[in-house]
Amino acid sequence: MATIQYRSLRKVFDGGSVAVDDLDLEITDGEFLVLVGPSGSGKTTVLRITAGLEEATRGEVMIGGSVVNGVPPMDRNIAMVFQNYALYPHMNVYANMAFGLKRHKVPKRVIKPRVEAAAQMLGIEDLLERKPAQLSGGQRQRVAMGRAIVREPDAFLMDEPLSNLDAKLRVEMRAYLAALHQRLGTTTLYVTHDQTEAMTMGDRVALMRDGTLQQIDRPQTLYDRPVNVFVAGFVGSPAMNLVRSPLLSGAGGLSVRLGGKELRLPETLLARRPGLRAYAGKTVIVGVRPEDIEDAAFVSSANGSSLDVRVSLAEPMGAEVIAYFPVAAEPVAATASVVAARGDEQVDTAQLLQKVRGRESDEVIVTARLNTRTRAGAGQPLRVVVDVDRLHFFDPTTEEAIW
Amino acid sequence: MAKMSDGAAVVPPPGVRTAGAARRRLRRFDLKVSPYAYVAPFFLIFIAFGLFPLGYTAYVSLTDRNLLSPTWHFVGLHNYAQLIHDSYFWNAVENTLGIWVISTLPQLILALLLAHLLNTGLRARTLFRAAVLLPQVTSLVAVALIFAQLFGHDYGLVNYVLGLFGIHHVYWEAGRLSSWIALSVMVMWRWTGYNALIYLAAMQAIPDDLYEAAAIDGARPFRQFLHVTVPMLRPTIIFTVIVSTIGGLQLFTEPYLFEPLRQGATGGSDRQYQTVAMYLYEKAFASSEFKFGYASAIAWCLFLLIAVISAVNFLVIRRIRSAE
Amino acid sequence: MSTLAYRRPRGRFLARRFRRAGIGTYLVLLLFAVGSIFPLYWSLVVASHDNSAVAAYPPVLTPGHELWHNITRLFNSGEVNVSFWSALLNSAIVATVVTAAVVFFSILAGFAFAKLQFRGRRALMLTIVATMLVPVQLGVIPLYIEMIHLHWVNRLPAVIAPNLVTAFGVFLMRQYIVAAVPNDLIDASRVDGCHTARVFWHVVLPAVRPAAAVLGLLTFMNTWNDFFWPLIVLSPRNPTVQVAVSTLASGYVQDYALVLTGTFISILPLLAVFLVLGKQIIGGIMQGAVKG
Repeated sequence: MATIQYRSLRKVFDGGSVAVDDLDLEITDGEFLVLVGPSGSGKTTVLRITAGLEEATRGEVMIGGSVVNGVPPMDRNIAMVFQNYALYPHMNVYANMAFGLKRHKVPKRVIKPRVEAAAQMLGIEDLLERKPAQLSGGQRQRVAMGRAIVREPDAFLMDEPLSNLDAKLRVEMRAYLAALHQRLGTTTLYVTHDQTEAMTMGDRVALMRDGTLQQIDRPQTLYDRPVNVFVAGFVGSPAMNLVRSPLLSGAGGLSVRLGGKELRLPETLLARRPGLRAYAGKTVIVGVRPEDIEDAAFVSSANGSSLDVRVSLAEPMGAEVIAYFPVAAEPVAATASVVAARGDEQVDTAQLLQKVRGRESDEVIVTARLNTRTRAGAGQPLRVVVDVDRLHFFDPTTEEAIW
Repeated sequence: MAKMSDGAAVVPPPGVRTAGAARRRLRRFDLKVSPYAYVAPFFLIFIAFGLFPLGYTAYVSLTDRNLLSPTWHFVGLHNYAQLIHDSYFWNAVENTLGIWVISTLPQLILALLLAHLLNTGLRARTLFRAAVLLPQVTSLVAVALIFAQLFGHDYGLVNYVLGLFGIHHVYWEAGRLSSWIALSVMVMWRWTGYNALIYLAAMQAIPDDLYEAAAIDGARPFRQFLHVTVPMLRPTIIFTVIVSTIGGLQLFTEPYLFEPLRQGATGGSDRQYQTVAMYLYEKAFASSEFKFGYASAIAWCLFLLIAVISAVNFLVIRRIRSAE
Repeated sequence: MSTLAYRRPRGRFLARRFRRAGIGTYLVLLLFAVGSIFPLYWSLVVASHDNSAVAAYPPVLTPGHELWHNITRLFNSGEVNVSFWSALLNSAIVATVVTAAVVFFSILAGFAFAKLQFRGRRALMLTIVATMLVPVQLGVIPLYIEMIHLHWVNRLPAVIAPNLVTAFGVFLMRQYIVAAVPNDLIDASRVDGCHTARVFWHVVLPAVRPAAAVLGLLTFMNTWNDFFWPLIVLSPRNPTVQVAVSTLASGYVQDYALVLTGTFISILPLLAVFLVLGKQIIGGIMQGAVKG
């Protein structure tokens, strides 16, 4: 049974910085768990503690049901894949893959077929005689994986293995890893800072921030029901739009103010988030995903939730158009730090536009994903519809979701 | 029994096994103790033959220890006080500094020039580099003896060549400045190539676009040298100056072997080229005095001299306009 | 966005080190080269004549025929005041032992300082670096006293033992290992099943070969050429080759031919090493310059 459990795990480095703060987590047998978060979130530390390369200050790590605190890495029956491949430069591919098995006293007659089988699986069977210096980045990464596979461990530990590959290779290898996991079914702990990787690869995704676990759920749940502003802003691309708005109580029920207009909240929403009523008359943080805003021309039933805006920038992406437009609203202070944490390759355009326009105190640049046939263009007026049923709400002080 | 890492014992739930305690202990040992095993051989020998003597010299310098007498006494700073009034000592200091000045400054300038010349698309570049490094490979003894012969008064080649220019019969060994010059030539011959290679390496690490930018701005090669090469080379220059200083102020072998008849390391009949290191040797091992206490005081003064001059050099060179 | 093909800089804008050197450059360099080689050539000239040629006027500039004769005279310890054979042998022994020891202990300690965690690591490293600035002469007198107590005066251990480790060697190895052995390679080997000793054997040793070679060469050269300490602690009865040559030159009658034959023989082994491995030595010095 190859589960991994953390009980009250805490790691404090010399100098006092708390890298992991009281983590409780269980990875079930055969699960592919992605540990994601910005740098400094503690995700790599957790991985290294699991591997035995660091020791926990407090708390327990259990692999396969046994407490492994203090056990050397080689005895934990785990295998690791590194970001920079970490291949032995003076050994050829075969020797690289066989090395761990030799150290674990696996007999030669077992090693050979295992290495060859793994090489087959990874498409590197022709490279066995070569040395790492003669391989491309993608090939090296596959050798690194091969080295882990032949160990037939209880769990794989992967430390941002795709970060050093170019974009195209990364997409290929993501699919490869997913297929591999299907075939081998080994418990995997996968660390990354890239939220796209996290969402596409994990059975479950655990989001960490400053040493604390924010939320652990299936990717879709993280997307649909984020527990706080950080998770909401971190997951989903482009990032969720966040504004502060008073929750107005009126004749027709509750509504929020956006861009000068009042958007009424439907009953379905209130049924799902009964806690909102307690916030009537107070300010809340409202979140709306770019995919929940559409060009009015393409929405069949335009309820009263449309806005008239002027587009600042429109980026045709082929399958859709990403439009940026300013909306009169109070920004959320936390947005900047969440955006910085995402580590997307693209700089957050909305933030940049906001700075350029220089009206950061009463205006928010909203991002929207529009139908590709939209006529929206820079400088043009546009009428958009907000799907109010899919709005998110957070407490303005605790930043936690309101249900 | 599972233990939490902060020491409190925990009874594991039924069915949970714990991995071997022996492996854990072995690992702790490996991580915590073995590093010391790796540095131990170095430190044992280093302390015995390196650090301890250094410290002990300080102690000996405060005694009147003497190889000839079986007893010795603590005399405090008496040796140092004596040194201050010792004209031979100050003469040695003057010689040392004089030789150092004449040998270091021109040598480093020559090395810069040489590096600059080597920094081109040369044919046979390894050959040239090897040729200028060759003096480094020869031993100090060989250098001193060969050059002593070359600078010989009657039959030396140097005098012969000078004679062709109308300069006759220079007594290299006898005079003060002349002996300094001869010794400086030896030092320069030995070290210029080596320092040139160091500068060359640093020059080749300077990004080419700095030069391109300078060229576009209209700088001629010489200005480029002054405004790009030299500032970027500043840390390397500091390094070579300090190393040359430390080495140069310790000068011993060349002047020791320059004397035609080794008369106990006096550095010429008039002590005209006796360096501080030679004076140390004379007092401790050469003259029949074997005054260890006094010589130890000389050793510490030498160290002080090197430290002070190195610091001065460092501060002076730091004022070269640093790289933008 | 337009795409300009990258144009290799030309003429004034071509980096200096790619530009063809002019005649002037070659001439000056030739001057330097000749100046560097000449004294050695000259010593060969003197060594290959008999002593009377030294006093010739104008001086002789071409090699003569007496080299072999002078060499046999050199090794005939009856004629000369020192046994040159044993001097060469002593130097060979000392240089070899010291080089092996320095390289080995420097790799060991350098590895620990570079990649292992232990209390006092920083302080110890700083101590080592600090001692590199101290002149050799400072510790000479107590060292001699130590040798007296150990009964090693005038015996080879006296010149071997103090040189078995050098601060420079540890420093060099540490810098090299920090750069050449990535941390995650060590992590990977630990996961694969290496305790520290195996990490040293399988990961570090293969990686340090270039630096070890350079350190070995430099140490061998420096040990062979060492003079001050052997002069103090050894005597002409049991010398290293440098002391032997200096003894040759200390007679009342100056037999320059013999002396310079001695210097020539003393240089030969290093010359041989230099001819074979010169490129590596040059490379080592230049790489060290950039990293330092």
